[in-house]
Amino acid sequence: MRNEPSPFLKKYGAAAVGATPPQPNIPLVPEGDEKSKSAVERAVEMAEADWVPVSVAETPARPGEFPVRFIDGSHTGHPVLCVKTELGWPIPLLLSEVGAVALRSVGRRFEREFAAVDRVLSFVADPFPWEDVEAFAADMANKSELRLRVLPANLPDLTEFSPFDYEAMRSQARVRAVEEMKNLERLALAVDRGVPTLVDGPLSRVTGNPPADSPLLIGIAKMQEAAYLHDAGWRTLLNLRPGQRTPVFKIVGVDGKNEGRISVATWFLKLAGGSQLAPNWGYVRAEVPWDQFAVQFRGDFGFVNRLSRWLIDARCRSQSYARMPVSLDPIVRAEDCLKPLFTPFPVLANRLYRTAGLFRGGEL
Amino acid sequence: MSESPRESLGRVACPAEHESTSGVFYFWVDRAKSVERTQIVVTKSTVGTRTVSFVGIVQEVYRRSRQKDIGEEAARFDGRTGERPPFESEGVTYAEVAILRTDPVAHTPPTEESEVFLATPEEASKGYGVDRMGHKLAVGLLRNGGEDFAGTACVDLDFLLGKNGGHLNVNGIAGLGTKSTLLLTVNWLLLREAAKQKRDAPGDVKRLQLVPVIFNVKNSDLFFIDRWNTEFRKNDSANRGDWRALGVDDPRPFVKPQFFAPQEKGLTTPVATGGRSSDVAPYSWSLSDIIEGGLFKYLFAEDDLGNANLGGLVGEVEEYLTGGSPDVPKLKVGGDDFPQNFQELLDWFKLNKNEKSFFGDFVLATKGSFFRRLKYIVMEGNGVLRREDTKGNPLAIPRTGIDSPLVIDLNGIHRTPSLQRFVVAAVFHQIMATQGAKQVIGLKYLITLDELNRFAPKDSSDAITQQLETVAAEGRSQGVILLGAQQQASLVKPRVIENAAVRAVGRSGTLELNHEVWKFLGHSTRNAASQLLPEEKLLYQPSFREPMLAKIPFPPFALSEGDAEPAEAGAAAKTYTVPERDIF
Repeated sequence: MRNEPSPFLKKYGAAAVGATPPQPNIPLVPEGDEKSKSAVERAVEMAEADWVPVSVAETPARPGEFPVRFIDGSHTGHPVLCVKTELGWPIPLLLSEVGAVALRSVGRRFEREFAAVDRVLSFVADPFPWEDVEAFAADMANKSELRLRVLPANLPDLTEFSPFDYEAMRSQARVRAVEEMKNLERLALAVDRGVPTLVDGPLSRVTGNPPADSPLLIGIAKMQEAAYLHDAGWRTLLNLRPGQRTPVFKIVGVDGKNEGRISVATWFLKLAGGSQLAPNWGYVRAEVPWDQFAVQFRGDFGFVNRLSRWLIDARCRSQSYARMPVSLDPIVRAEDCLKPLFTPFPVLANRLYRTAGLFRGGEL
Repeated sequence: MSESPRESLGRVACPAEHESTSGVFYFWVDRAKSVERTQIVVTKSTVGTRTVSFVGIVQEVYRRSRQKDIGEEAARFDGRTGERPPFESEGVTYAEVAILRTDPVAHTPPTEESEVFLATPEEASKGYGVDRMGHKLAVGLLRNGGEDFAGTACVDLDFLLGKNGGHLNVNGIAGLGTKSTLLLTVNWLLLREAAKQKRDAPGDVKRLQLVPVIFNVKNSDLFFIDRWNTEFRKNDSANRGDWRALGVDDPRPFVKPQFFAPQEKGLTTPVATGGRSSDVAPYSWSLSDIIEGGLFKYLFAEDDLGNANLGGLVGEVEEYLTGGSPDVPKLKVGGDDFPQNFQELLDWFKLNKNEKSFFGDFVLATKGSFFRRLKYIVMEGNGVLRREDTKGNPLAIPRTGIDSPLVIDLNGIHRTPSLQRFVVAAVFHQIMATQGAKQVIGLKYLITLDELNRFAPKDSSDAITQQLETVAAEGRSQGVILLGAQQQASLVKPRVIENAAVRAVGRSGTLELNHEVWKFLGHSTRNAASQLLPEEKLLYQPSFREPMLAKIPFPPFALSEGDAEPAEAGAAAKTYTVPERDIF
């Protein structure tokens, strides 16, 4: 039976859209893992000019120096509808499923300790009358087969972007959905802060500055956008062999306290290598809160080596996994535990289309 | 006290390549649980508006690691066995289940994520439709994995004794003695039931009456079934426990079976049958017995009767020798030269065969051929065929039910397979004639015959093979039930195998299991059949969607002289009381 389209969708002329790649000719709102430029202190372990690869010894990590909980988040989604404001601005509606999971290692096995999945529909809502948005949100939340949470995203900076820029609107919607994933990751982390925990991604995404004596927090960043390194640093990084790391350096948060701006002790670690691997591939950036490094571990680089050894041992070894050279086995496993909880995206999208009264070719 | 919640084994999974169907489904196994092939499991799914219960049997259990190929498996250890990755691979175990039954009847698959539980004995029993069986007979314990059981393994007597089908066929390799165990156990259980019905309703004309006829084909093995099995005694408690689970509190050897063995040449005594000598009756046939029994044609094998000329001559000679009424044939009593025994028949034929008027429709060569074959069988069979006696001791099969089996030895004439076949045919002929003339309601002849490949070979079409085919095809309606066995069903006349409504498969060779006759078993079941333990049988009847794996209890009766307790110790078995418990 054909559903009555949502008044909101009808009123604003919703039409089906697919997953188009970002258009390169339009400036994008930064949305990567490391969009902020923070201050960097590179002379923590050795003088900037003296940077050389540091080989990680075989010494095993001691209890408390390696993680036993692992946090990973996941986001899947793309625009499925596009509405137009009264002024004709194209507003994509991004349908997403976001989730986060916490795994705990028990002996050499893993147990899923926490998992949360949410379905969200994000879009730039500012241009619409608030009552229309509210009614639409209620409508989406009450559809039993959808149970979608509408997330209003902010308008992009109109001094920088045109309101007719579809990509800018889409990016805003995506950032909002990803933020929701981060919220779930924060929740997964908060469920148990009593044991050393590793988070997939920079720590600043999910936590503020933890107490120096609290259990160790470790962040593993795969995507590197900020230029933390000087020339000698780059040379060191690109010369790393598997099992080597760069010297430790410090990234200083904006105020050192607020969430998203914590200071960290960090280093690049080469997990994998080989003749076919590009020089800029196969390393991750590990980070721990600066206060924990400086106070709890007394700035001990032996701790850095032992933790690095643990990370190398825990690397993913499955060639079939596309990001194997920069992945840790526990995080791959966390992803394996989380992804099956998601609804296949086409199913979700079709439910929304049906709810929206969209049939054959997207007519309303 | 509240009942503890039932723990599930896993949940139904049906991703691509492992889709559920109305016949098969898969489930992944909880990592704290183990699942074994042959376990019986249940699940429930909501299909449309109905809740459907499924009972199934685990056909195979699989384990899959998280690695995509063997290279990744090795990579986890860096190719060195001494390495120990920090985390386990943690693969997944999953099982393939063949659906035995749905309730309500629904030709639909279970849906994904349905919880799967180990079946209770009641559920397992229901899976095989035991609740729908008209008359059931528990013949073993229903396997539920490697060591556990889920109640009793029952066959439907309506399929065994003729109402909806008939006959039991057992296949299995030699040496494990398991074919005989099942055949004799079924005899024992049926006799027990017949005895119970006789006690409960002696005047009931429809009550079960049995005439069990057991052919002994190897050594004198079955001549000691009235003695305790020493191996049973060694593990008395456990063996009795198995029988008790079947509802039999007092397993014991057969009571007073009657033993028959081929008569010795020139003597009135039977051939030696191992340690049993005093209570064995001899059997033999004189020429007049052969004619009276209508058995003349069975003296000749396929090669003989396949030839139209020779077959015709055999028929004419039989007709010539036969007098009396059609219902009561007799050997003619002619003049002084009319043959009255086999020797006289040979002499008479030899003397006259060259005369043109003597069976003038046949050429001399045919008559010569007949003479040579008759001479061969009479000389080779001298003893069982009384060459110079006018009266033998033909086997007389009772026309009413008896309380113990007749055991007929064929091993004593093992050097003459054609004579063995003659004896079997003579018994079948007599029984079919009896039942064909006037059938007693409730009277069943149970013919236990091993080595069916010898008596009904696949490529044969002689009179004896035809006799067995007839029994297989029509015997059930006349109350003649064949409890047959062989090592290789592929070597037996297909009609004999196919007409057995109840089939049991013991451990069988893999080559044998690849033959057409076994195609009704799935790949996994055939694989299982090649690995069965001696006491295990896969039981199949038309109402089963998959075979039932049963443990047959160890027999209390000896199945060889070596296993038999001395006769004195076995004397205790001679008082037989019917237990109170009803096995139906």
